[in-house]
Amino acid sequence: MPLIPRVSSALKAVDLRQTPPPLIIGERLNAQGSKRARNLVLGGDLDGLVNLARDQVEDGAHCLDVCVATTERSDEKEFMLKLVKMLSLEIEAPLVVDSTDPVVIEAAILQIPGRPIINSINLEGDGSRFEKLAPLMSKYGVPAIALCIGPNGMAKTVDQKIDTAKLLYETGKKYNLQPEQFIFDVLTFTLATGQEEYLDAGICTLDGIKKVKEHFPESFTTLGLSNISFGLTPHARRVLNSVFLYHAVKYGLDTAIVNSKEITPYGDINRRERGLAEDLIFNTSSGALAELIAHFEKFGKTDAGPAKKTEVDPTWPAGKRANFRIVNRLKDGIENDVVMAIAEKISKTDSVLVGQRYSLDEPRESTHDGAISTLNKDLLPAMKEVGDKFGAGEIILPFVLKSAECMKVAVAELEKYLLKDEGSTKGKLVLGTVYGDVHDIGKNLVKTIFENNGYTVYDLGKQVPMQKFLDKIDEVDADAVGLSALLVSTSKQMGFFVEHAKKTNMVLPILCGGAAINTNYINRIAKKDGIYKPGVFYCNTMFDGLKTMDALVSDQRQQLLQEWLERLEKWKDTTPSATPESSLARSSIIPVSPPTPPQTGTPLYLDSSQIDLDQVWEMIDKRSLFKLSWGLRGAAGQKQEKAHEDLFEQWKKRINNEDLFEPAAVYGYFGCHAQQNKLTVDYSEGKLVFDFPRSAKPKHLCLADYFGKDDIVAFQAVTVGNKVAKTIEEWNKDNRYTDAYYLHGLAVEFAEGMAAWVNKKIRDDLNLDKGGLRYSWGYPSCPDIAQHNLVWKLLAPEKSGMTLTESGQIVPEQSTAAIIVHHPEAEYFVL
Amino acid sequence: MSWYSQDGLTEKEPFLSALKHKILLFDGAMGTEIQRHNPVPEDFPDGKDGFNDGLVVTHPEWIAGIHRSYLDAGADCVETNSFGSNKIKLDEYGFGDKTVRFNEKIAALAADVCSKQSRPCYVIGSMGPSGYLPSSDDPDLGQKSLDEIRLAFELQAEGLILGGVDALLIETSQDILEVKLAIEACHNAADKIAKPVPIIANVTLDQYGKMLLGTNIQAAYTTVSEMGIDVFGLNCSTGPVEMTPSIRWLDEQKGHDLLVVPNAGMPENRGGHAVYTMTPSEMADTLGGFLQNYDKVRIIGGCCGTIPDHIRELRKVIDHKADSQGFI
Repeated sequence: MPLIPRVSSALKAVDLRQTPPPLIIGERLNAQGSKRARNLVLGGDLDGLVNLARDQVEDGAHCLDVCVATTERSDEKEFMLKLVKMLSLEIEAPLVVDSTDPVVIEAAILQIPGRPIINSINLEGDGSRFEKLAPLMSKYGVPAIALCIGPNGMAKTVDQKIDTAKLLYETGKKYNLQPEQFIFDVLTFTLATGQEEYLDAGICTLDGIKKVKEHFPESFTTLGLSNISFGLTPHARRVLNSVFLYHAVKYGLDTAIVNSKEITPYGDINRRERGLAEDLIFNTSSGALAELIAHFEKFGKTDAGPAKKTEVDPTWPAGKRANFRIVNRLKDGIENDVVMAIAEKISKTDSVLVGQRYSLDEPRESTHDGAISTLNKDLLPAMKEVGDKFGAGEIILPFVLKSAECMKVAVAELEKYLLKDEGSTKGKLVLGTVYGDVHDIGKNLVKTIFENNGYTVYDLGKQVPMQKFLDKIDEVDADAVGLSALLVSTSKQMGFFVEHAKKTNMVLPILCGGAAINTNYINRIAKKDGIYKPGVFYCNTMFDGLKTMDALVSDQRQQLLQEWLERLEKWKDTTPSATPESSLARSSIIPVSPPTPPQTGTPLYLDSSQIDLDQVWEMIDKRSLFKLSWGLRGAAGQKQEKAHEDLFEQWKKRINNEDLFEPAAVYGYFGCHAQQNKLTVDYSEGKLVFDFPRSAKPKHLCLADYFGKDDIVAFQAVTVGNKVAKTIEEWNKDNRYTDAYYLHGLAVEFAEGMAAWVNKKIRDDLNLDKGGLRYSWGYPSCPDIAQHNLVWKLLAPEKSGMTLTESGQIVPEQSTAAIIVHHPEAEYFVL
Repeated sequence: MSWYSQDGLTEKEPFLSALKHKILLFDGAMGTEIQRHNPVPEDFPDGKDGFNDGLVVTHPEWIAGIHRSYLDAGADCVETNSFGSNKIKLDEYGFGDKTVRFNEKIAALAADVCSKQSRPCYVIGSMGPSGYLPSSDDPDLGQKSLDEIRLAFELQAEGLILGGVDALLIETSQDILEVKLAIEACHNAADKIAKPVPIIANVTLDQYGKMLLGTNIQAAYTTVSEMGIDVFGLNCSTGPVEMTPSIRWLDEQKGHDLLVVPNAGMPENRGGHAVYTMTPSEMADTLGGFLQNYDKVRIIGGCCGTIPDHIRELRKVIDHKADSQGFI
């Protein structure tokens, strides 16, 4: 008896036969099919791709299709290998390796610590693809999606479909392939063309599935579901896809390649729409397509979900209205709703003084309970809903901040009806970015969310020394402390803090968050030299932090700590300590003759009048701005793309009008000498040595390799100025969270744009056709930001308003420095 | 019926066909038996203290003696003293460029001992881990090229087959990706010498049933079960009791024959040393229970902390089962 057919990741195995069917193969991690995946691949954003994978698993995908092929990138294989390795460490879902290149598929199967699925085999043309992939299926025992494409092309009729399936199976016998290894895709064609030839395409697919299952009961079937609706509007597609999937499963479909988020359960689709879709699928009325299109036209082209009502219904109780306003970011009028809500709760609606702004003419003694109840029953649940929606990828970060602004206004109104001095705070958090770290965007988000969920936050700002945390904790008798750090190097401060807390027998729970850390990192510091019993928690997002804090100040505290402790005791550190870098051979890069710079040895300073700002605006990477800095995530993010274009234009005007940016730049050319990993740079006061790390990857690249014994190197530093940082701080204080968030993102990207602009100037100066690549510290090819100290000796960017922290970070944060390599073959590499 | 091989007149029954009609007993730990000789650095090749596999060069009589003591205790199979003799490991001792010859010699030593027995005994080519974790992103352990790891095992397997092993045993595996590579390596080596040899793939699970990087038994088995292996199993890390849920699941699959080679209980840390406290009769009880309850368990034996006394007790359990079922 054959084994139960399964596939596996490094973490778990999944039965191909799911009850109830189908097995869902997430389709979004596909650079050919998803704009988002494509952009992440083009940007080399592995973390973003892993997040996309995680989102799909959370939405119910059992397996994940992975395709990283783009016309722009020539390193599909290398990128695929990096990605599947990362996915295998974190994502439980087995992978479906998707590439047109058999070499990429083979390499990925070898790299994956599991049994993946191949996407796909077929018998197109001379059948050479089949010949290359079938031996792999046999060797590793992996199943493959078998497209019903034969030597004569795609199978359209039912007979063609079953014949092609038989041919695939027969051809596989030569390679000893087993029936369980075939996941037949009988092909789906769009029903949106109205062409005579395709009127029965839906029926053919369904009958094809049925026939194949009858003939090969041990094999599986699959569908690229969304093909069925290609060309229709989003709302129509969602309905047609969902209805078609429902019927396909009834005909015997085992698996489906879909975006599981965009599937609506059959029962939830209204009868009329179901009927329209079924008429089209089963070709039961000649006007089916026209009717379906007409019906869905009114929903427009943008919103894939059913149109939602975002108006406050005046007949609702006031508490519900206030709640609705927060969730839907409708600030105007929320104060009046809060007043009415309190009045309704204490049955004193007669005492409301109606005007443009309502007020409640009652003493605080009698309004207090109503206010507390409004807070707990109406306002706080709204923020919770916002958090949940954000966690589910339904809304983007700026929307969360907008909701927080509504909440702030509501709470300010509410406080007028609370008894003073009564501890209405849910708890006290002392918060700051750790010593040496100047990044505070994450910390500010935590503050915003905590404050708007009823906590008192003592924000100590950034670069906070440990003693300052300790003093504040004592002073305010805090319930917890929150530590934030963006960088790997500064994350160590968290370890020091925990160590100190242990030594001095503190009883305070410690919440940690930041881009460079993860659960393992925090577990390690929590467990080092004995567990810190009061708790050290890793908070992946501000809402994770909030959830933890909520538990800590409630009667669930004991349970939380108990569970945490048990988890931590079981947890084992699987990251063995690193050994020192071995001596690696030099790369085969041969230095080229140096270009001629206009001058050497002295830095050149540019102020805003000498920088062409229009050109800089042009150079801003909007993709990066929208996705990374403005946090457009998921389907919600995609829907907002047009809105963000408009927003970008508005901000550009505003920044120019208000002179928010004070751009400045410095760059210079220097003589230099390379020897092995070291680059010695001549400057007015002597020589400086940059020691660059060498890559362990096959090419063994090192930045110094690009330079000869007597060569020329350029350095640059740019900043958006100090006014931005101050403005952001002020706006945050004024509860203008959303504005502050947008400005921060734009400033970061503007600095990048300036860097690109100066970089181009240098390339022009040096007359470079190729080469002139810019490497910034903190990135893979030259990770050590302490080398900024050397650059500061060469360029003295203090004169342009840029200084360094002890750990080598640039202040203000919206600045960047780089070394420019003129060598034409220079490339970005990882160590 | 008896199987004599030393006179060359009767062919020994192949390993896999023997496995079909009887439970096979593996031997116990090698390292602790070596320690009984109180080795000093001078006992090892080039004075490389702790290079146990190297004793085939300097003290083959020790190793042969240990093999014999387990066979005398009733083992049907002995594991070659080659646990750490893949090329990557041998490189650490400066023997990497002799990987094939080295393993051949180790296997031949065990084969010689077995051939002198008056019953069919089997030589199992032991292949322990490379020491790297190819699926991790560890800056050191996760960066070794897959080709290099596979080649390290391929050369080892080649030597072991040339030396006359009856089966290859990939054991104490921490990373399922490494198991994939090692299986491929075994196939490549067998193809190269044109001598098919059974492959046993083992993984090592912690007390929670997971491999070092979090792989559970279902994922581990699914990943390698269709890669042309003959036996799948668990060894090391825990005692038999902790293996129960995983063995039960594997048995339910009704797929491969299974091997169970646990430690003599969970290691207990006493003064920095791992101590194994399960007595021979306790271990025999538990493994006997496995044989009773799980038909697919066809091979048992002992890993860390087991000595010939454990093997003697296991022999009794197997013989008792065979007697009660009326055939041998």
